[in-house]
Amino acid sequence: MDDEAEAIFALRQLNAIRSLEPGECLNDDAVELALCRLAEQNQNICVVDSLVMKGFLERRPTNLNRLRARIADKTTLLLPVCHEEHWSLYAYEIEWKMLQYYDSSRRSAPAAVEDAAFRLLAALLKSNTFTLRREIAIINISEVRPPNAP
Amino acid sequence: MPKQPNVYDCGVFMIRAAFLLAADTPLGPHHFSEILIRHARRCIAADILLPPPCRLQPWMYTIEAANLLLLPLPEVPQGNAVALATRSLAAAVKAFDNGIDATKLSFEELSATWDAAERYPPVPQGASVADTEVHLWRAPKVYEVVWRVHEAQRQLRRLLGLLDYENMKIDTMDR
Repeated sequence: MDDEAEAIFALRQLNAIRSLEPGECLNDDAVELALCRLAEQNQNICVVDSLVMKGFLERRPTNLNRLRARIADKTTLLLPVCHEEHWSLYAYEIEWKMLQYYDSSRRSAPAAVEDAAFRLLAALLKSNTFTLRREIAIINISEVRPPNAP
Repeated sequence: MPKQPNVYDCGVFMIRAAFLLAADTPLGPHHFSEILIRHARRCIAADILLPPPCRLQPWMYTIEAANLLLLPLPEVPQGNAVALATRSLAAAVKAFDNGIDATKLSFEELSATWDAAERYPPVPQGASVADTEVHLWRAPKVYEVVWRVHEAQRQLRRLLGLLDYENMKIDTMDR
């Protein structure tokens, strides 16, 4: 990494860190850098940049060739989604063709988000015939958070 | 059905869920009950900022901070200085998470622990990796590193001030 690239990367890190301060909403840099660390640790996982998903949400043409090459030997795709300033996550198990949705607000995915995720997976896997099994995983700590927690 | 009280934490939960999924851990509310949001945010920050060896070996976080301190700060180019500042900050945060609050140790306390540490026995022969890590964590050089982390934090405050990043603070600095 040359000096300029290193400086840009460092500034992205700073941008990410600022959004990790208490009360701040996480930005794209924080989510992407954190999930990239996860993908470094687990070679079976491929993280799809949230901007790719955003492109499908906005129905913009998106080139998936590089991403398609990256998923060749992966078992799990993680698709972070930011929709209306709310983060949620799709996890797709390639072998089992199972799609799971994780949302801390205890909601099902909005129809537009679900549609975008289906179209992205269909385009990425070059298949319109796969069957998606969908499970809604609910994350909620409101009842179990310690009373004095911030 | 109650919703998550703080919408700003949705990203933190999402990342936490991703890490649990990657570890093949079935998700449940108990995975989130013990984690205060601020702690989770600090852990994510450390994961983002620190190089891989430090993430694998917790005690290396403090050594990383000490190594960074040895760099001649005025000669560091600004781009590298930003990296230096962020990595030092994360190292200090991780040191705190590992039970060392360098900012609260007085010089007398450090001296006392230093004296005690000098009498600390060497790593036993045949010790396991885990035992060796624990031993190193308690060994004399670690206390030297603790002192350097303390110095690193002071230098870091100065550096952040120079770079006009004083508004960028993580609560460890205030604890």
